[in-house]
Order: sequence, then structure tokens, then C-alpha cells
Amino acid sequence: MQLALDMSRDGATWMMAAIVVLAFLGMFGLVFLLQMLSTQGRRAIVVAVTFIAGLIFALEFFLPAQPVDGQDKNFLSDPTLQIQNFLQVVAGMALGLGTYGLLRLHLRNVVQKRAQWGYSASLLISLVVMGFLSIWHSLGEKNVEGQPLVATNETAEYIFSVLFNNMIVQMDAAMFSLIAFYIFSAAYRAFRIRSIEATILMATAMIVMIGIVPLGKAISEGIGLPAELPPEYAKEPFSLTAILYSLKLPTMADWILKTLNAPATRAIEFGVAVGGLATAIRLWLSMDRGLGV
Amino acid sequence: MEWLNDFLPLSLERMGIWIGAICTVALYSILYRENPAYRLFEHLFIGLAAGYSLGPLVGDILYKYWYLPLTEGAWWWAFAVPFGMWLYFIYSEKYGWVSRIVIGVLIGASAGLFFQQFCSLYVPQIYASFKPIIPTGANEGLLASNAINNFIFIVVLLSVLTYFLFSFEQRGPVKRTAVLGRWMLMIALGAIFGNTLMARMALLVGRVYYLLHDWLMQI
Repeated sequence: MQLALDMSRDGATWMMAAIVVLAFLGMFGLVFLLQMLSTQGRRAIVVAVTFIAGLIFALEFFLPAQPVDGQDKNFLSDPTLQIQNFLQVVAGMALGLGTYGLLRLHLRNVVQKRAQWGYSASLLISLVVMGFLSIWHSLGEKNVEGQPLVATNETAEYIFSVLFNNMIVQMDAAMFSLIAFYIFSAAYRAFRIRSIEATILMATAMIVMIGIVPLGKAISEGIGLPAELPPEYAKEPFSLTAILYSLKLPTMADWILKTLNAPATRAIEFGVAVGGLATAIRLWLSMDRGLGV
Repeated sequence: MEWLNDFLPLSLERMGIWIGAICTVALYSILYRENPAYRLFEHLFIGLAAGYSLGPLVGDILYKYWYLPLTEGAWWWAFAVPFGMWLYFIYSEKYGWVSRIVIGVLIGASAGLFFQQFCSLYVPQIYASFKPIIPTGANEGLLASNAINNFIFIVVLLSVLTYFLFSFEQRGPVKRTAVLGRWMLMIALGAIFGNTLMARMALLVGRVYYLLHDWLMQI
């Protein structure tokens, strides 16, 4: 019985492998067929697939939906989920493309021994070692019928942990914190009071910076502003206590963020959204020249 | 002497901390000037980060969205990877145009998804932006302070939107509203700047704490 099960599993694995190989051969064979097309034919294909890909998602959203199993769905809802998963795989290949580009550039530096090729060599070694360990670690976390997909190794896991926790995480934090120094230098230039706009920018940034840290609370309470707003004053915003409480730096910073910053940011987002919509329509209809072949 | 024993990388844990500290100090050395240590660790960082991205690519995308459906009998998924690999033709002069089919699919889908996003994300935001400013039967609990804040919210929103009207020449009241919008933008940018600066400062404090506490064991 077990033997029959194993044989049927082996058969299924071979069948799957054969299908994958055939898919690769078929898709790459298709490239040679497509190559026979004229320039207009190629452009038509690119325009058509772009339009169809966008149309499916647009139709799925705009077509009326009926409640099915507690969710509003139409006949395109399930296929679009499958298509989104398909696009995840395709976009994943694009991520690999970036890695391939990096490898290509630095391999060329090393092979041709260009200036400072040693740095490229260090990048390649770290990329290959970390890539191997990261894939191993990632597959080791997957379970198939209670067993890890790939057998894990303690030493490899330790090296992966050192490379990730003690190098990537630390260098990531260091790189981003480095920006603090450059922001200080930018702040010096931005905050020089030369116009009314620069003055507003500086005053707001100062209030927000001091207001969101404990220093703002300490300064406000140090000059005698109330630490808390008693509940009886919550409904009397124009009482002296409420006004004094509103002048606290943390309260002012919070008010600036919620009442002035939020609508201004939202207005910018609306502008970006309308611009994005216009760009999306142009791209969908292939009105931009970028996709020309 | 005891401090030195604790400080030196004589255990696996201390070795990890030393590696982290060396990476941090090497990257901070750029603050003095460009130097080989910075360049080396910068390249190591890029290599490690690029290498790390391959794990989630294989485990979370290819395994989950490609291999698993295949094993469940969805044979048509076999075409997803070779189709995605058409992107790699981008490096070929002769077949480079084939990669544009894949790019077209990705761009088209992104455009379609953007229509969905615009309607589901921004339309409710537009609706939510117009807050009550006059107490009526529908909002009896509206306090005067809330009403004033809501009024200011709407004025700021409309004035900033007016600032971005470039379709015609701004004159008269439109120009004055746009000037107010510019000032409100300055307030927003100042607030964003302040927030960003403090976030970076928090990271810097974290790094200094790591060096002083974890590595040098001084605080």
C-alpha cells in the first residue's frame, strides 16, 4: 500500500517536473514565434496585454456584485484573486532581475579588474553567501506534512542569524540614523529666516520637535501651564484653564499635527491621487511612448 | 580585569555584538570623510540585503504562489515563472521588446488596481474631510471647539488644494487663498520635517545606546 502510494507520488512529481519543463520550452519557443511579428504587431501585442490586464481589475471593481458566502462577489472576483497571485510570481521575477543586474555589474568589475574591484568582490561574496543561507532558512521554515521542506543545519542557522541580526539589522539602523546628521545640516539651511514661509516652517518644526518629546512637557509645566485638563473644563474650551492647557507645547504639537498637518497632507494626497489616476489611464491605454517597441 | 573579560569577544553572544559594533562604527566613519572601511561595509550591506531578499522571494512567493498550486494540480501555474522570466530579455538587444509584454501586464494591472484604490481609498477620504461645523440635530454633541477645529480643517484643505490649481492664472481671491494654502503647506512641511528629524534622532539614540550599553558596557 505504502509502496503504491510512494510510486504514485513519484509519478506525480515526475509529471509535474515534465509539465514545468514543457512550460519553459513552450514559453521560450513562443518568444521565437513572437519574434517573427512586425514592429506594428509587437506593439499591438504590448498594447493589448496592457489594456486587458487593467480592464480585468477595473471591471471586477465596477461590475455589480452579489453576496456570495458573506462576501460581495461578481464573476471576476475569484479569477482576479488568481491573477493577483500570478502577478506576485511575475513581480517576484522582477525582484530577481534586480539581483541579476547587481550580480552582472559587479561580476564585470571583478572579471575585468576595474578600479576598486575588491569592493565588488566583497559585495558578490556577501550576496551569494547570504542568498544561499536565506533561501535555506526560508525553505526550512516551511512544513510539508509536519516535516520541514528542507533539513535545517544548526551552524548554517547560526551564521544566518549573525549575518541578519548582527550585520543587516545593525547596518540598516546605522544607515538610517546617519541621515539624522544630514537632516541637521539641511535644517540649518531651511530654518534660516529669510521669508515668511521659512519662518512658518521653522516655528512649526520647532513646536513639533519639542512638543513630541518629554522636554516639551517639562518646559510647559516649568512655566506654570496645567499638567492635566480637569474633566469639568473639557466642555468649556474658552475657560482660562482650558486656554492655558491648549498653550502647552505637547497640546500645540498635537493640534498642529491633527488640525493643520492632516488636511494639508490630505490635500497633497488628493493631488497625487488625481495625478496618479490620470497617469494610470494614460498607461492603461498605452498613450505614453515608454511601451513602444 | 573582569570588565575586560566581559568586554572582549570571548563568547558567541559577544562576538555578535562586536560584529554589530564594527559595522556601525565603520558606517559612521563617513561622517569624518570617505574611507575604505565605509566603502567596504557599504558594499557588504548592499550584498547582504540583496542576498537576504532571495529567501522571501523563494519561500514566500515562488513556493507559496507557484510550487504549492502546482502540487495541488493547477498545472497552468507552470507558465507563471517562464512568463516572468521574459523580463530577463531586457538585456538582449534583439529580444528586448519581449520583456515589455511582461512590463505591460504589470503596468496594466497596476493601473486597474489604482482605479480600485482611488475609489475605495480616496473617495471615502474626500467624504470624511467635510466635517460638521454647525451643530444640527445629526450632531448634537458637537462642541464649539470641535466645530472651530473642523472649520479650520476644511479651510486648510481647500486652501492647499487651491494652491495646486495651475490650470489658470491665479488672481484676486483665488490668489489670496493660494497664498494661505502655501503658508498651510509650510506648516505641514514643518511638522513633517520635525517628525522625521525626531524619528531619525530616535534611531541615532538607539545606535549610540547600542555602542555604549551593549558593546562598551558603560551605561
